Amino acid sequence: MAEIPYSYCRCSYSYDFGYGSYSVEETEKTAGNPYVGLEMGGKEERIYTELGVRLPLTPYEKWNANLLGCLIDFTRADAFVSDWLPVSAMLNLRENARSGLAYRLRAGPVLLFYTGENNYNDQFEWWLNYSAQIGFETDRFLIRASIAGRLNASMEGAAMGERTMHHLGISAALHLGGLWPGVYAVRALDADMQEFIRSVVGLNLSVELD
Amino acid sequence: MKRIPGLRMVLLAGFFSPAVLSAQSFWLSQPGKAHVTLEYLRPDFKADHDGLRAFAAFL
Repeated sequence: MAEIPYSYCRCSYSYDFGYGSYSVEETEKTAGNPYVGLEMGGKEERIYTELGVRLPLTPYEKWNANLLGCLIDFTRADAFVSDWLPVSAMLNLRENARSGLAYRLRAGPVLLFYTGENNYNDQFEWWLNYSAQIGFETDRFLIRASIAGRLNASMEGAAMGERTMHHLGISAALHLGGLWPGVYAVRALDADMQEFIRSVVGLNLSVELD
Repeated sequence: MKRIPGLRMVLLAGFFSPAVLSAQSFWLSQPGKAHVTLEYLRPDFKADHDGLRAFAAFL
């Protein structure tokens, strides 16, 4: 498996002095930390695992683009952390009934090893990602609802509400030949997260290779 | 230059994530089927710049 993340950020700053105002616009773009990994488990097996690593390539200087990449999908925030080497291991449990009803549970740690030059920085952190998904899947279409969360296990002493983030998601896709065009929407559940990103919408297109 | 409290910064952005043979993309993947996926995500994103940086410390 592989994934190549990319973030484009356009920031508009507005300043109002009472007697006049001006605005500045900046753009920033960067490729994130590419993911390479293995998925282990047969097509019909209920349990499968993912092991992967992200190459720490995203530059620290692309601060806004990286932050945006982290916030827009915190379940894959490790795609945009700079100077850290993320290693992840996820356990998946899935069930697809003949009726089309399907569910998946997924959980596992993301280990972060510091690769920067600041000796005062923490050298290791880890997160726990977890999610549950239920949906209806046929050969022609699928529709899914999900809840996903992340615990920052390295934030010792902080309240549980500060260490965790959650969002609700829905997705749907159609099967057109070998293509799966789909839509995706996510709603942040945490009040502090909602101050910055209340929702995310997305489009996706999958092309089957077999 | 003095900032007036409550000024807003608006970030408009997209996030492309093409995935090769991806089952990493949990919400999209078809179990056991190799595929290439292109994603585009766009947030409803409004944030005060200083507040955003403070919040980033918790990430």
